[in-house]
Amino acid sequence: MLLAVENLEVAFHLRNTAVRAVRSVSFELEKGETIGIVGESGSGKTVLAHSILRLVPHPPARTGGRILFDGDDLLSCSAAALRGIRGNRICMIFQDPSASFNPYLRLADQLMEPLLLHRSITRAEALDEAVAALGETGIAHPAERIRSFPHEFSGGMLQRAMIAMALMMRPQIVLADEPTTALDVTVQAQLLRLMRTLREQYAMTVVFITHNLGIVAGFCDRVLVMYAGVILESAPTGKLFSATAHPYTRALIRSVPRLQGTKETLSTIPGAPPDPSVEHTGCPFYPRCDCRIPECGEAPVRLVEIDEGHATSCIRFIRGDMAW
Amino acid sequence: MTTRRTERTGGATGGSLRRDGMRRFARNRIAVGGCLFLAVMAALSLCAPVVAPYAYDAQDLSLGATFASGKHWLGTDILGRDLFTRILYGGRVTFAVGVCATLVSVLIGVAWGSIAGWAGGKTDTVMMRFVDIAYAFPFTIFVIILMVFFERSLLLLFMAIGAVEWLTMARIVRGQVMALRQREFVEVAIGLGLSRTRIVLRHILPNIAGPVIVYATLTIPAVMLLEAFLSFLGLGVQPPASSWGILIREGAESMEEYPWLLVFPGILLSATLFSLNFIGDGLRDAFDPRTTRE
Repeated sequence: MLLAVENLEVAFHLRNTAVRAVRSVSFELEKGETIGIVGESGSGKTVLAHSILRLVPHPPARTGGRILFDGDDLLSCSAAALRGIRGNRICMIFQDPSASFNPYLRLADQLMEPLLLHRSITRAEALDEAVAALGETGIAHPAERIRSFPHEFSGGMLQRAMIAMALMMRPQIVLADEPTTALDVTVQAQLLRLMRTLREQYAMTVVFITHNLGIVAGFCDRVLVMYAGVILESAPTGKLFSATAHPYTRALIRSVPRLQGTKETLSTIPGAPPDPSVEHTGCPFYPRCDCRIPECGEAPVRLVEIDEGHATSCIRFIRGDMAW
Repeated sequence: MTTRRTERTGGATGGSLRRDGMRRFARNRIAVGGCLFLAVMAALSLCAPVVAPYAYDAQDLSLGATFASGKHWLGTDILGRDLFTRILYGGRVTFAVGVCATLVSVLIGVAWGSIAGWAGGKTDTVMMRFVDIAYAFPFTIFVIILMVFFERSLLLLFMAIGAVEWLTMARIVRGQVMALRQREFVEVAIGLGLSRTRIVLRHILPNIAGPVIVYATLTIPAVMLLEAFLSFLGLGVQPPASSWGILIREGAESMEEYPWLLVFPGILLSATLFSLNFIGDGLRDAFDPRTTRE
């Protein structure tokens, strides 16, 4: 086990309210696996990923629980120890490539930064490595291109540079926070192919955050479905689609547009995600759920394994009194 | 898309933003002209004892005020002192005050502003309230207090002016840093494991260089005028020593009878201020990598 998140709580304390963005989330990450975290906007998936590297600003955020990486708790280790892990042993690929680079520095300087910081090598060696990494992501003439400023790259190229920057350190874990959301679908497909190749080549462990179930199906070994800061279902990718065990997951799968089949109105989930500042007892999806029973609104949410590696929080599935 | 504007980055070997900026700056004729003018004036002033045809306090009362002639290139003042000589000597004070006081204000202002802006919260509040209080303090009274407690000297003049001019710089820098701190590339830098100091020095400061340079070039003229004002009050440079501020004041007194005493120093001061503004604009454009270049 490479990373263990135990009862992670992240709450933003504002003037009068506390917004609990992540509520008692636990999961484990094995070496070499790719785990997908899916959910709607505002479900807490980005906050979850950012809190692994303690990138959530304190204050206003407060965190609880533990994140164990290699025996250290990332939430309580020293700032210096954390800096040695960030960008080195755990790397992050951010959402918006065009905002992720300093407009005043050449890409070479920015790509060399983590190398010079975490390894004792000369500038010339760092430049060589950065060029090689950029070339690996499919950018032609990397030795010249690396001298560009960020505004001279397209969004897709910048995200390639971002991937290069994360992967050249050969991190133990890559956190990819919706790395393709800001890009159009063709570029998205190219980048996913690239990430798949590089993942195999370096046997990387990846946490992939997305709201796109299609990407999850093709990219991840295991999926966590997140809603209102809570994990509702956790399953191997195949089982998530073939033996869905939560009404929310089913509703998500149903709202993916399909190319085949009859023309029908795209199904949506009625209602809106709950206000994160309001405390709810029971299942957070209760108000929008079409299979709810009165008990759902009261019983506390906990993930229970119903099959090997497959856990759900839906009490009706746990009991086994519901099938599709 | 991928070949867009490659001519801008291709070709040259090595190269940094600095070298690129210098190259771009060198193509800006007005700014280079400004630099040349300032360099000539500064060199002449610096070498005043060698270059000047007369001593700065050499009077010729029988001559009185005369217009430019072969003997006195820019004429003489009421006391028969050579105006060209006095402009050269005055330039020493004016340039020294302009450069030193501005440097002081930039150093303090940038450090103060970036610390306050980056730290935020209580640190920011305390630091910026201090700036507000200093702002509200009447400048003339402050200088007079300084004069009472310390010897009257040029150093004191630098200190007094520098102590006032950094306030605005600190506010500008703080605002910029606060805005930049929210930008995603700063979060990326944190995610790469950079320390706070390194992020401020490497990622924040280059991004605020533009406004800082422009404001610094605006500070130099402001400082030169302040020196003139202080000298006018008798708190700055004392006669028979001269500065451009003093020359302009004296010229203004006898403007109706001997206009050249105002016109010549006035032209020089204006030309200097123009040059500084052109240089400031040129620098800002040259060091912004997004500047379009044909």
